[in-house]
Amino acid sequence: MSGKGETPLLAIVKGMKLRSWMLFMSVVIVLGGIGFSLISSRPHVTTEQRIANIESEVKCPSCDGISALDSNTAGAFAVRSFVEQAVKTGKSDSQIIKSLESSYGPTILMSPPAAYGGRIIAVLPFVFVAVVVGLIGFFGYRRRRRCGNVERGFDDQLPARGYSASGPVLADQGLIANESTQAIKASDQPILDGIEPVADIAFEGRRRLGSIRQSWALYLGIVLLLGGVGSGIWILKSQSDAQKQLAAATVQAQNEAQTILRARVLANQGQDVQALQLLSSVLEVDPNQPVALAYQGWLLRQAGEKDNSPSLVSQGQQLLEKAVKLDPGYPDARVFLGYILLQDRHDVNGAIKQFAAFLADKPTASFIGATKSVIVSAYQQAGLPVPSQLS
Amino acid sequence: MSSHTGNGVQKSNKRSRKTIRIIATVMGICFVGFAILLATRKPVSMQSVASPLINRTAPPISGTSLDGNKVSLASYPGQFILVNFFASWCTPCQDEEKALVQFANSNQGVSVLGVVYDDLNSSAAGFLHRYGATYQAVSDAKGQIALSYGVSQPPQTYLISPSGVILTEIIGPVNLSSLDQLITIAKSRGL
Repeated sequence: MSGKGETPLLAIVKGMKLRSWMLFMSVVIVLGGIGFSLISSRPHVTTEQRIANIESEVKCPSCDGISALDSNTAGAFAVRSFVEQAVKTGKSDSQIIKSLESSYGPTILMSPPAAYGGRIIAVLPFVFVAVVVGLIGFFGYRRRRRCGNVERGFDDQLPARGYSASGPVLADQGLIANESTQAIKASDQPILDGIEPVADIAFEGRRRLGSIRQSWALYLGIVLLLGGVGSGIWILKSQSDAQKQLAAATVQAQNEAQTILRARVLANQGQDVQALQLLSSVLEVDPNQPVALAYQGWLLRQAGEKDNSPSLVSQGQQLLEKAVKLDPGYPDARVFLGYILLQDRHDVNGAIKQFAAFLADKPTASFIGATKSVIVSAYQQAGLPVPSQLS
Repeated sequence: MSSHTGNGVQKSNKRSRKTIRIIATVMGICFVGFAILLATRKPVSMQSVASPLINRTAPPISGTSLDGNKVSLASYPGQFILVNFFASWCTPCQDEEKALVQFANSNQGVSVLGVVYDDLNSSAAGFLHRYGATYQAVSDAKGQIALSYGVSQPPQTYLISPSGVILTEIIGPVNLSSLDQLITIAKSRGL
């Protein structure tokens, strides 16, 4: 079979038919795809994200169905404190989770492993897939083998009968009439010489067609099964990734909110530079954070006015316009932008547009009180009646 | 010979079809059974699970008591210890406190150790004083003792054997008779 210098593996590869190659390549591609998706979906996580991931996997002990990450109860605080400490001491995620499980049992997990027969239930679909693959393979093999036996059976009979047995068998299979078979049996060799090739070709063609159909069905079945399994794994993985991303996004949002709050406190205390630094750190991570944009813009405008720098005022205005565009319902951005338009640009109509949008969102009485004088001034300058909310 | 071969193929085909039908039926039954199992199964969240700490060594407790002394489980060698997680704001804790104080004073060779759960030390101390409790109570500011015991809501009480193993967990308020019964059983079984 194998030529000189050919390894057995090379000989096998050379002997593979097109459909075998296609089957082999499909399996390789699907498995490769699954492997790649598993490897590539492992993002690099910071310690904070890792802590958040663990906290999102664990329930708040005193709540019902809320993760420790999302809860502010004492129990959730204890869990968060424990997780942070454990991560700092170098414990792995599974060790931390196991430690909590050892106190509370698996019910502390947001997705507890199924108890009792749950593991069997989880395994059942895979068993089913395996059984289906096994059956397809088994029947495919048996059919192929049966066809081979039939073919060999004809070949064995040829020398003994003096002519091809294809004719009678074809009659059995309804391919040619029984009368014709009798005619063939009764006739002499010259007639058979004329019929035999036709019958052989017909049978061989049918056999091959059946074999090809079976192979394609088998091939298609395997590809569909692998595709199904691959899709299932991909869906499960993407769901898990989505949960982790959600947890990371929650942490980011919490950190952003805290940083912006600190920046606002600093700004109120007159520490504009420190406040700007904090806001810049938020915008570096999320350049479209409307609150940070609005306060950055406002602080820049204040600095521009103080230092008599029109470019800083313009920068501030641009940031506020961006904030309004990103979140039209954010009242602070509307008021700040309206103020700049009124005081710095003398654009009364533009300012009124912003103030009207601000008032339309039904701000709190205290917020209206703090901004009332500026808004009333804008309406008076425009010669418009002052809205009832301000009177 | 040829008709034999043909009949053989036909019989074999019939057998195959029959086998396929049987397998399909069995698999269909399996699927229906699987669906029924999933539909009727109690969700995991509703399954009650006993504390995994029972019959295991009690997690360590050490800290400062409300009156400023160092307290740990080792302070009670060879004794049954009743560890009670409580808070002054918790109504069931108020309900059980009288019984707990009576039990602590009944001199059954069982020490009661309170652990403050999510409460100010001053409030917890005032609570114990109001009920005339003289047993020690340890502060758990970060909730780590409660976490190690798997506490979800106060009151939660654990009975620890003289050998340091958790014998039982009582979720909710305790009463005197059940505590007496519990200790009697534990002692009679030499736990």
